[in-house]
Amino acid sequence: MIRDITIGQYYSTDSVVHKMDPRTKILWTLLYMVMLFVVDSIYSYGVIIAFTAMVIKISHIPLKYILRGLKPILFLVIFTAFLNLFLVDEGKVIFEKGIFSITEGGLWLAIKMAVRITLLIMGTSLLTLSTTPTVLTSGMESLLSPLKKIGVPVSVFVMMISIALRFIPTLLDETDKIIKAQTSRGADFENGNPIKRIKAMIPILVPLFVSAFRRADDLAVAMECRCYNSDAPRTSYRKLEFGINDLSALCFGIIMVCTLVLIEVVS
Amino acid sequence: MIEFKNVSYSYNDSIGDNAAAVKDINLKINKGEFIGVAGHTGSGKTTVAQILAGLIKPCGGTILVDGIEYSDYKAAARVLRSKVGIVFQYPEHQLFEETVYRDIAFGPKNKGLSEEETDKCVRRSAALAHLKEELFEKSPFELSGGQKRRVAIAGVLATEPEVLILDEPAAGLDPSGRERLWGELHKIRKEQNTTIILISHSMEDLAQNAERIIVLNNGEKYKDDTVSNIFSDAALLKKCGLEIPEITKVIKLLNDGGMNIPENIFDITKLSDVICQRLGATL
Repeated sequence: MIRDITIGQYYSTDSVVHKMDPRTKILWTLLYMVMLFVVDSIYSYGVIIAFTAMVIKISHIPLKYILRGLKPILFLVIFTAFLNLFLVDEGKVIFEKGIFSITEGGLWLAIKMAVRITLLIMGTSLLTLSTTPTVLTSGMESLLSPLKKIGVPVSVFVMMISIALRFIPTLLDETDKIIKAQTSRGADFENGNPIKRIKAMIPILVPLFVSAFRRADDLAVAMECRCYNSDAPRTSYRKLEFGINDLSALCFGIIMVCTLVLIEVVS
Repeated sequence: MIEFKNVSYSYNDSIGDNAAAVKDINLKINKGEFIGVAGHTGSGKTTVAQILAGLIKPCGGTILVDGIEYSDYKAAARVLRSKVGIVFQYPEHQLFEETVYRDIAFGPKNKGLSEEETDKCVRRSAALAHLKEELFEKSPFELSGGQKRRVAIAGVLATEPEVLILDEPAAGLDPSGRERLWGELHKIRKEQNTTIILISHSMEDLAQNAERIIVLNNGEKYKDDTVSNIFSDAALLKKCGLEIPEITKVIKLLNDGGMNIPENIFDITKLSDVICQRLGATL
């Protein structure tokens, strides 16, 4: 189950999407998220789904792999869909039993929310799957750099983010090992009532925190040894290059926004 | 006591391909044995250990425990977990309780033992791991590295396993700590008739302690024999990236020079005795 989490993982392959400037991809992801939550018409969703499918296709990342990242949030999707299904009271009633009733509006909203969350996760995981954490953070730094002028410590934030991303897999491995060790000592994480199960997390969480602190300490010492200074101006090994592909991707973005606006206005 | 028949396991790596970690392993573990498991990094040692401990489900093959074959893996895992204790690499990273006593008591409590029985268990396993009782009320996090490791090992011993698996238990210990650890293992084995499976990179440690050695190479069982048979063929071991122990190398050199010393000596004092004897006889 722990190995199913694909957020923050990089899928190494050769594709146009992988080669794109991280700034383009970050901007596109933001645009994508806004589009997802602003549009309302079923046709607009069709366009967005087609677009997502196209990007997945040209990114050469196997669909199976992206879908696996959805597994952990499946519960959330189903839960919100059910809430919308039963709690929204709008339009014609299509099903009624006791206090439960399903209305047309509720059904539409339930489907819409499920599609939104699913697409949101797929779109954002495409960003992290096609971009290595280091490139991603240098893209972020470049996009946020105007904030430096008003005194925001952008490079410190970016360093924190890249360290956090770097340690996700390490801590997952550590968790896996701790769970196995405690299981072997007879700990039971799968059975019992919710309170018992939360209590059963203590033997996992305490060692995990201890090891996170230990690693943070080691890393801080190692950085200090190499004279890390958060205020020093930093150059990067990899220069970000905004190429023809990025330009066309952004142009495509503008066209898509226009298309969606048109669809929304017409319907 | 535990038997593997064509057991295999493969990891789903992050890309989604299947990487076989263990292929068609057949092995038998008998009561009271001291078994060494050798193999270079990535040979499947830890995977085999985790399958033995009932922590990961093999993809194929059958596991027999005391001659009984379980068709349902859940049942097999329950039996394996109750019989096999595993000490992972750097076990001190799994300590979590407020006091040493409570950390050691975690296993017996999970087994559902009463306060009295738990107390007995804790004291016995602490004694086996050479932990003084005055440490019981201390926090495990304020102990030294060697003490932490002994607390962690005591925590596993307290579950009273019939088979004890140790994955590189001596990593990071100083020479005297290592010697003491080996002494403790032999004592545990003698007093409780516990089967001990020692996973190690160090051929010296295996030669000194184990009776039988299983050599793994690329996830397959390469050789399974007595210590002296394993180390008699240096070329074969070299093929899977392993070396014979230093002491065996020395004996081989001495024998090349005309001395006739049996190669199954893995103890320094014993070897020096034999050398003296030979020299005395020829001089």
